[in-house]
Amino acid sequence: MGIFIITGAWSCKTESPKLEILDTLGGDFTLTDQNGKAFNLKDVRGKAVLLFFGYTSCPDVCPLTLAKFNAAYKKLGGSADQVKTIFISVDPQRDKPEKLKQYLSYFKYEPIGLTGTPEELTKVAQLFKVLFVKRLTGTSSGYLFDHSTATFLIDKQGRVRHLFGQNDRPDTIATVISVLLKAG
Amino acid sequence: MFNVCQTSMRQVRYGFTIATVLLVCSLYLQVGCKKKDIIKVDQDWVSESIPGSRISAAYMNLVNTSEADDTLLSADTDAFETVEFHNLIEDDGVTRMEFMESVAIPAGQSVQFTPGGMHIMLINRKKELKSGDYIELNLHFENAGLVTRKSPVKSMEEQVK
Repeated sequence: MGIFIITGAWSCKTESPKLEILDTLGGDFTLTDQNGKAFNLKDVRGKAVLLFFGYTSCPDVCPLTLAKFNAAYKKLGGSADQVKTIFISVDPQRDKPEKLKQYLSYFKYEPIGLTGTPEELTKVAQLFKVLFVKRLTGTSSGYLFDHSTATFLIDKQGRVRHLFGQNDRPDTIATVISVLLKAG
Repeated sequence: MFNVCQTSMRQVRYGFTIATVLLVCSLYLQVGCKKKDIIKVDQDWVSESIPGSRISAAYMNLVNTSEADDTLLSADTDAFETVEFHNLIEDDGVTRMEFMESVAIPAGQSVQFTPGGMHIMLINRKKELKSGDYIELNLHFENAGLVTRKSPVKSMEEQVK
């Protein structure tokens, strides 16, 4: 199963976050959360959202990204409760809601884990112009995903305002989120 | 008189044999030690288990102190069923992991396995790994042979600050 989508040409630089409204990215969607319940992005309106696509069998980038969010939450201090993290698994075959629940319980700030059918996930990926392609490795790892590693920062009105890249440190993530929260 | 001579000759022969055995042993040990010292391992750690995932990663710095190129051919550990080397390549915002059959360690140079870069992928965990634990990794090199390293387990929080 290969899932496609368009790759976005974006800049992940965060030296001077302008936080413009990136209206060609994002939008509301419905998927299934780690408790097996329907979740719509509207359910977290009023919160800033860090949204990331990954999968639990990813050994490096995905847990490190979630750990970076954890560190950023700490730096945010009292503002942390105004931010939710959403981890969308692109591996519905292995990442059932129960597994997502187990996996995300490791991270202290209670991320929301989402999954869906391949078709549902494809539609959401299209909204955010992300790419994920299943690739058989021919080795013990079975299959892996090539996937976009950008994290989308969504404002309290549900609009994408910034993209974080792999090189962004927790300090930068916390600073940009603070700017967004102050802007309302 | 004859008996005395025979005895002393026998003693000399014994002496030679023991000396030869000791010399061979000492040379063998020296070569063995030198081979092991060819590759230095530092800045090493393994990611703690995350519930629901049987995958983890190991990171380290490998320094080839010899004047000959070497190659990391394979690795294994009792804590996981399989160990593979992967390189993480980011291209236009898309990350892809590439399987590596082996990893070249050029003479006098170091190669780093780091988060978000080349890493040692640990597949199908056999036991839980908690921060503070150590796991023994066997690294097999073309020239240096087997290098065994006990690497500490770190939580994700300890890795990202």
